[in-house]
Amino acid sequence: MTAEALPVPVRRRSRVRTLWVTIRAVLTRELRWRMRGRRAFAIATVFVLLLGLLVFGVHQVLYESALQSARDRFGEQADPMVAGAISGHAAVRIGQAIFGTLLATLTVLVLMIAPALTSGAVSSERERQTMELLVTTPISTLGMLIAKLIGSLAYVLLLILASVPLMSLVFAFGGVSPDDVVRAYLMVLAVAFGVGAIGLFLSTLIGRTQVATVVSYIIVFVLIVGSFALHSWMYLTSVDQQDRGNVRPHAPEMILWLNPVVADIDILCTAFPDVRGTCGYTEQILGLDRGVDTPRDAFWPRSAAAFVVLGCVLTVLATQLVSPSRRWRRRRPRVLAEASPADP
Amino acid sequence: MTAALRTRGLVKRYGSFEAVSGVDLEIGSAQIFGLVGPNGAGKTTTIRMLATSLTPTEGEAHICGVDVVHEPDVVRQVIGYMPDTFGVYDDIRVWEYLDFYAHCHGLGPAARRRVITDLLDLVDLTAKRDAYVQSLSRGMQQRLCLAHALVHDPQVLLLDEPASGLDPRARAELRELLRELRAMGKTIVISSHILPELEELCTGVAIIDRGRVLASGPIEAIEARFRRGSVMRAKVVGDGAAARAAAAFLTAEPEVVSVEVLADDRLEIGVSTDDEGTSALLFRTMSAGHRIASFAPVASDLEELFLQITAPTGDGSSDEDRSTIEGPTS
Repeated sequence: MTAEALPVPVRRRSRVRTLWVTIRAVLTRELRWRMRGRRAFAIATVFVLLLGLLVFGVHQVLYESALQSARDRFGEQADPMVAGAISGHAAVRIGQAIFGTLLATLTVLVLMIAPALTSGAVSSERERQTMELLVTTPISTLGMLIAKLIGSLAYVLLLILASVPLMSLVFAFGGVSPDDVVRAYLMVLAVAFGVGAIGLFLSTLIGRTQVATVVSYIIVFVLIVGSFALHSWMYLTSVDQQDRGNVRPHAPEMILWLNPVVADIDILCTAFPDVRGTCGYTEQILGLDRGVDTPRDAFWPRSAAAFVVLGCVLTVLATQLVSPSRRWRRRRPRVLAEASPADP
Repeated sequence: MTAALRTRGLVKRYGSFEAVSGVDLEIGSAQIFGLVGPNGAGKTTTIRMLATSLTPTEGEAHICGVDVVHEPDVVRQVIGYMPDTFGVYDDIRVWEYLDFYAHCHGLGPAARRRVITDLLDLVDLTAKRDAYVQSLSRGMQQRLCLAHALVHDPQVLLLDEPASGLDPRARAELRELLRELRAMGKTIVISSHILPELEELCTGVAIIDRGRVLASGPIEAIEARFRRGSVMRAKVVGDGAAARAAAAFLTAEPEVVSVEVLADDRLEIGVSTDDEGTSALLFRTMSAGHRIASFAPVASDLEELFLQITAPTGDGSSDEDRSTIEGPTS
């Protein structure tokens, strides 16, 4: 018996529209799920309080140090107000220290939290047995992953946003320009995206949240310590190979592009060139020594770009791991032999 | 006739294991079609391939004329799928659950609000609109999952064991709901172990075992082709002696294969004839003076058919030897 195909009342939506609809739908659900209740805002409040305490501590240590210096110069009776006034340089140092502390804290926060949040984004759907319901709806796989990445990182973004008022304190002390702050936040956001994408990719690849989280942390550790060790080894080896010649030791800079610690050091040390010490040493060891005229925005933009590219590549690759039925394949619609246009 | 769903030579292999071995189905529109088979027969794998959750290794499948393998995105717009096992999101309310899936199907805010209200009414969960999904009972979650499959008004519903875990009342309500959906023009493919319910509900079935369709078509057509007898249970009026006398009479009848007197003096009679022969046997028994209070099959027709068709023949060639009733179900 032959059969006709049933007329199909389907709308073939454009891919862009499907992507947009998917991002909105999945992100709405993710945010409802993650931000419900008081927990999210309680943690954000505690985070800001702790960050405030840290900033206060840094301020107090440096202020006391500046005050002691003034007393050393002018005697025990030196007026604190006068002591502060005489050392505008000390205020600048406080501002720069707060800036450095906040940048380091935000970086550590991102490195600690982002993988944990994203490494369960897809695997938890499998563990909860909700994935099958999701993949049989006409959503865009890429849109789903983008929404999951944003939804998972929303918490980190909230905490980063919560740090902005504290960060603005640095302008009261001076020594830090607004574009330095923009640089710092751009770098932190790029690291959050890249590291979050690592967790997301592993979540789709491994399928078990706990294992994906552990592997994510191992990879983050390797990116920081491993890249530093490899670069240092290549740097030191290149010194030996120069046979005491005039050629300066060198190691490929790109090894460190995915090392957020080095990117932070670059931002701090190029922002405050007069603060040498650790900066000079680190720049030399890491091959970033660019002398007194260290160019700004040379290393960290490459590092940020590397994190963004890594995030994009891993997110796109993850689309191929969500479900075997959602992998890329050439579209080759086959229409039933009986379903010719002439059919009623 | 119009075919809402058709498969040809559908195969799914996992390494060397063949879960589905060339399933051919043709299901007309506005039908309720049952997939029947023992555990591990390949029912769920078949449904998952039709739902675009799995990609077939070989063969083709079309739903509403759209290729399942090559246009899964289009197929996902015309099917509603309810898997055998499913989970729910934590910390999400019932209306938000439906809102999410409706949003995934591209419905606008106004349409979503309307659909959610209508579906909650349809599956009788209006009172639970603001409850958290994880707080619902298993039966309520089943109904909610069915509602999720309907948010985009699909042409074809693929329901894998939708009645599992439901109490008798909920199962009866589900049957009514499915009939209502059929009346609305939906084609429903349903797999279930509860065969009497399928028999009552379905316009056609496919009996699947070890990845093959052993029989497919309207239940009456399968019965006419495969029926080799049945087991009847009779209650004889009187004491044990009356039961034994009736048993002795029945044993001598040509249609009777076996007679057993049960502990409660009821008789279990194996007959190798159709309904007409069984009726004649009952008439002769009562004409001979044996008073029969009840006379009914032990199992439903579908159960009986299922047991007969899937029973091993002993020569290991049962699947190959059985012919399949081809053809649509409407």
